[in-house]
Amino acid sequence: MTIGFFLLSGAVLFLSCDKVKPPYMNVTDVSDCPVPAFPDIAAPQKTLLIEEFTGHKCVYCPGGAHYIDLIEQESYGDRVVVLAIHASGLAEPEPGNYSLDLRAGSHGEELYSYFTIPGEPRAGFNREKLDGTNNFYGVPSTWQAYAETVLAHAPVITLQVINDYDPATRKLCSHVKTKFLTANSQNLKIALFISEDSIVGYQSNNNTAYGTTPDIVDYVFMNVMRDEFVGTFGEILTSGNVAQDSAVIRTYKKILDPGWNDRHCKVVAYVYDTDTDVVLQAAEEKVY
Amino acid sequence: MRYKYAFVIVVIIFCFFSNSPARAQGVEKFLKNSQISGNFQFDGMYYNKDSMIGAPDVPQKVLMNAFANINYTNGPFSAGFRFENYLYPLQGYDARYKGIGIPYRFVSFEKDKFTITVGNSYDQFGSGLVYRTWQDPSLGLDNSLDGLNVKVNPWKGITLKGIWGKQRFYFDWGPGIVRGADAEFSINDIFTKLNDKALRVSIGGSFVSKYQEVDDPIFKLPKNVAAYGGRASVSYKNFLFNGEYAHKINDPSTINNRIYKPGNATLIQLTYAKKGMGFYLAAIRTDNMSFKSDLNAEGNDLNINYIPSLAKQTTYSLPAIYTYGTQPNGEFGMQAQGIYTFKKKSKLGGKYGTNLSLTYSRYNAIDKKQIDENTPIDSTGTLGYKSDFFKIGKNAYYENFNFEFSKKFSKTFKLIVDYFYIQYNAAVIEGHAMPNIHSHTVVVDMTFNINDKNSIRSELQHMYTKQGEGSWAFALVEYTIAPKWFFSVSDMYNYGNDISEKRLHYYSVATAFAIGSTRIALNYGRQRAGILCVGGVCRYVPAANGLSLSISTSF
Repeated sequence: MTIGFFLLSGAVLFLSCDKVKPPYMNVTDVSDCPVPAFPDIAAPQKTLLIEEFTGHKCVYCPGGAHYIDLIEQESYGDRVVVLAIHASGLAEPEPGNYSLDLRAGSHGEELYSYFTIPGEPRAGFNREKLDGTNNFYGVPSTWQAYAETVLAHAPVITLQVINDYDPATRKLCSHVKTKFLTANSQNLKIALFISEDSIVGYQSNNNTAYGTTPDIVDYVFMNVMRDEFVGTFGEILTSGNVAQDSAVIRTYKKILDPGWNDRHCKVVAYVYDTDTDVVLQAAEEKVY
Repeated sequence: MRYKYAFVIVVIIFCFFSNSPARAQGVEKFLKNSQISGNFQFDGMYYNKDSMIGAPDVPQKVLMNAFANINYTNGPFSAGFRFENYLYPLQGYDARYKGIGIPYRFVSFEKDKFTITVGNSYDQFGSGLVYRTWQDPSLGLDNSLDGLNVKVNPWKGITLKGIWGKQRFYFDWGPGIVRGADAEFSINDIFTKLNDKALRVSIGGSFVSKYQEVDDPIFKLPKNVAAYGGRASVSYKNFLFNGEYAHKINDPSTINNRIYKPGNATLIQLTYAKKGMGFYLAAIRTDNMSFKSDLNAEGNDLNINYIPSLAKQTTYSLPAIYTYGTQPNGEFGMQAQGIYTFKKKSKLGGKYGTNLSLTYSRYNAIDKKQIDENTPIDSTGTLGYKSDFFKIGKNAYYENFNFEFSKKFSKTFKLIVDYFYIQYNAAVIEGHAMPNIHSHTVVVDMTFNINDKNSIRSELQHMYTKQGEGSWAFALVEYTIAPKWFFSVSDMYNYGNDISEKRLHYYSVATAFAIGSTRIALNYGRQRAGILCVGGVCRYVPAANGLSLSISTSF
């Protein structure tokens, strides 16, 4: 009787297994996003991700954007990827001139909070701690020097983004290839965002060098972070040992919000070390 | 929540005793059979900042760990609890221990071949590959199961066990529910005809399942994860063979980087022992066998199972710097040990005999191959890797060769000489990049018994290595006045450090006083940063400088 009871209990327990069948991740069905061939990169270069924390009611932010323009347009061009993250109270819309909402849902706030940003404008440069403190983020006068320091590093991976977009359905397939130039044992995540250029609206300003004061009525917002593909902090790419020349291709799919101008949208991808938060490489590509 | 349970137990006991007029005689008998036992331990330390060794400034200055076990038994009935107090916990112990409480309490009784325990329990199925709950205060580890533990012996030679509950998680419970059953059959005891046979066989099997409410936007996570195993033990005359195999179904966790590959573990041990000599051969292979009741848990938190270590353990300070910690994601280990005692009054044995022991242990990675050409090994959300069971990975984790000579030369003098060669893969065991350590250590341990009460013991140790922190020297002198007093002075000197500023002395002065079962110990000195491992389970010990006080007693 007792043995029977235990055998029965064991049998019941034995049924207490959930064997998961592939695919193991709740990824969006990307079977309608055929993976294209990625061209080889002849001379890999380090790319810089600038995460600019800003807000349309921040009077110093036009000055910050000016410094980033200098780095992006004049100094390093294609080697710079910018994400303008509108967050905090200075990015909150309000009735009237400042009704434009440039925040990317809660994602910008999450990054703002995670990196304990003390105020705007602040910018991170591949999230490297460059000023001898634990801060990732510096004020505008330090940005040019930070950019130079980060871009002097050798790349350890390459990152390529290829987009396949259907304007009729606004379906966007983004393919991202990560290739390891050296053997790697870091814990890496990949993050993907949509950004939008050329949004026009009101911007507070206190410096006539950058526009009218106290408001620039037709300010052009660039690189505005709009939304994510795989969460604010991305998804795990690799951990453990990865051999040199290994490559990982991931495909993501998204329907673009009808409120965004798809001709001004870009996909921004970056890979970072989850232990240090340092970004190893970044890439951006226009939606179409 | 936990205090409520303790309160209910106290109320029940109080009611039992207070209904006195009708039960006076019963109560008297009850009290006559009652026994109360327990123990108490306090470890406190005053911390000095010591930037030379990297000891941080401790804001509270004084930290402490303390606990007291109180147990009551009355025939088949027993009950007990453990009061714990960590305000704040000592450096090196998880800060989540901060607090006061009664995280361990139980009531147990035996009736009709059943032993039923409600509350917290510690138990083990086989060698623990699928289930082991245990406590080790030195590691700050306690994964007791709070719930039901039922044991029954329905027939001579048959032991059945069942468990059901939640695991302790500091001063709370882990989120998962653990259910399990185990059966052990001693063939020779079941069949009376086999009782006296030299060949003795027992077999057993276990099944454990954990349930955790999980809902993840990215991963398809199993709520029920099971592990099961079988084991056999065969002995014949001087030989004993133990074998155990365990299997775990998909368990994507933080530890294994959310891979879905099933896990398995195999442990084989062969022992031969006769008077004056013995040998031991063992091998273990584990593959993705971390099993926790919370798939997000890390470190030593909420382990359901236990992976035994086959690495040689030592209490000597210098070789203990490089102690192996088991790798739950996969390892291939072995140990071979031989012990021989030269008889008393023989040429080599002398008047008191001579003991020799030789131990070799080694750990390597398991073989891992990509599941396909586009998926790196251990990629999240995949099967992770393929592994050939019989192929050993190239990455060496640990190697230890030890030779020990032990001899009592006279009534007053005993000598132990040890040699250790250790190869230690710090990148794997400690998780930080540095070259593999290759070290050679010699230990001379001498005890002089001056008379029946007074003795002096000294240790001289030297470790030679070019890697890590370089070579070390160690000296210790202990003076014991039995049975009450103990004094010791020691110094560990990192004279071979490549960085001259780090050629530091880790000195220590200690004294202890014993009265009966109570021991009070004081220690002042420096403690080197490193890892402390017991049975392959490790915790980080930070550098410290200060005065510590330990009090322990039992009744």
